[in-house]
Amino acid sequence: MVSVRMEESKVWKTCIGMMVNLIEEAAFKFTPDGIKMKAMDPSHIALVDFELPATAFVEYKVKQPTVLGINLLEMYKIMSRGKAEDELTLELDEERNRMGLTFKGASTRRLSLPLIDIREAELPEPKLQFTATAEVLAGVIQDGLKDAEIVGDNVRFELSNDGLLISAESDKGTAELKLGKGDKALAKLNVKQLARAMFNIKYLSDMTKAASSSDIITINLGMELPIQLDFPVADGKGRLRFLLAPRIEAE
Amino acid sequence: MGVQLGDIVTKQKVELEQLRGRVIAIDAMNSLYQFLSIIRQRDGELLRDSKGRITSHLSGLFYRTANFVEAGVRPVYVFDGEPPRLKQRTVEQRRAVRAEAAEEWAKALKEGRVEEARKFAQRAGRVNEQMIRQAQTLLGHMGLPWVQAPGEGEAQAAHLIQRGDAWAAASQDFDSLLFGAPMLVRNLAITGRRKLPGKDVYIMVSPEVIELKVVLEELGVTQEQLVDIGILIGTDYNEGVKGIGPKKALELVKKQGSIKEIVRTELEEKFEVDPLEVREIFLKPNVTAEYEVKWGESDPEGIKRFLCDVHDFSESRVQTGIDRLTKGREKRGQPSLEKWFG
Repeated sequence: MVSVRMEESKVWKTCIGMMVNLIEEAAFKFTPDGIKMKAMDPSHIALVDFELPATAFVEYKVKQPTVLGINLLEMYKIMSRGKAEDELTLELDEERNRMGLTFKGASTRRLSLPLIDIREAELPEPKLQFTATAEVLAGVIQDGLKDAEIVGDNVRFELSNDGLLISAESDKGTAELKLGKGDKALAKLNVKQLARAMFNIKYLSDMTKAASSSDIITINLGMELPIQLDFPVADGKGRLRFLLAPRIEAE
Repeated sequence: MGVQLGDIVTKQKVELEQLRGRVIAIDAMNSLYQFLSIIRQRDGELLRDSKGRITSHLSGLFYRTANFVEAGVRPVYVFDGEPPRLKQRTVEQRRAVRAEAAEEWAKALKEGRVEEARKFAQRAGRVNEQMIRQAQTLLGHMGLPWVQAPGEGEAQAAHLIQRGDAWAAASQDFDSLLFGAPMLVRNLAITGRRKLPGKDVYIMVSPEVIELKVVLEELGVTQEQLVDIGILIGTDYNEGVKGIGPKKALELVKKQGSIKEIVRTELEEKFEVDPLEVREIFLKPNVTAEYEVKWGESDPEGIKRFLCDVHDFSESRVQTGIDRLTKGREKRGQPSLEKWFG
């Protein structure tokens, strides 16, 4: 049996909203400990790694590990119908092979969607030796990306002892965002070695645009390595992690 | 035609953009035939230059390739070499179909049946040696690599992927999967808004990705068994068994284990060539490790000389294509995450 209830539907909505631009279909694994989902986008440039422990729920009933295949776009449509403060229950309707979503607020509304047949992807753990990490306000990243979008398709992230630098350059002009030590939006900075890499803006904005601008994102970066972005979910009980492959200068 | 596996394999639609940075080994003959078939005037007549030489294949190769190169795809065209002995009959059959279509086409034109004329014309197209050489010359000017296969192009394309020199094979046929290509992309050259044949209806075509590992897992068969399924349905090298389609073939192979067992049953006399010989073509393909895959700069002057001066292409349209090639070059540098998987 699978039946889990969370206090505010917006938690789930935000998570789905952040995944839906990257992956169409997802296999959520419900275990007695919590919910997990890991998937790559079809072009294998980005990876989504989601974890929400049972403790993030007010009620959590999962007897045995169950994988539920979900069309994220359809689920997002349903989530968009819920009010942020509604209580949300996710339930497996085994008989009809559906997932039920119940919003409890001013009224009780129940929607459901068919489960899809999907393999649970076995993804290896990437081996990455990040050399710098920072905790940054999501709103700042969102701003940096929007600026860079005006200039081109790619954006450079750099973490040094000076702080975070988000920059873009093309024949259309330049864009630069600096976040230094002492700036409130930079909650934490730890640089063992200068880290710098370039990324596709579209992917990064797909990952970050649904985040609340007041979320603190943890960035992990290395020299020409993928970037790892961790978003706290349900007050940090869970997390949504993205990994994005860098762009390599054309040979 | 290739093996008809379409009904039993899972295809995933992707956007062209999602193939960015990917090296894709393209079945050159398959593409050229496709261009000859679809790039036509309304009455079915091929595009020609002022000297009457066919240019449909060049138009297709240039503009369609520029399209996906712009999106950041890194194509490497693979040309067929010597076909396996068993393909001879298929080759002759195709030749006969084309000859017949050419006659029907002429007849339809004479009688003013324009739509039908177009249909027959599409079947009549034939890629000759000269067209292949022209295609290779054009690719050279475009700064794109091509590889000469010793045998079947699809086999060589699969080999490129297995050696890590390409990410996927591109072809409309499913044979690449039988040759062991881990990844197959379909619809690459026809992505975009396309007219349905014989109708005034347009549809959006997007690329499809088929992953061999997923196909094998979902069907619950091995690579050898997939080849056996192909042999039962029919390939370019054998007719297949009458009355056996993909689903029946899958069932049979799973029940019997392999074609070796199947030939011991009453089905044996239904094969007119030795299925084990066909099996060898796929499982021990004639391929080479002697090739080079390298992307260069495109040569705008060379392209214009070849397409505009020699073959009367419109200079402004060709310039647009050249711009796309340049744009694509900037986009290529997007590796996939697998690069960092341990």
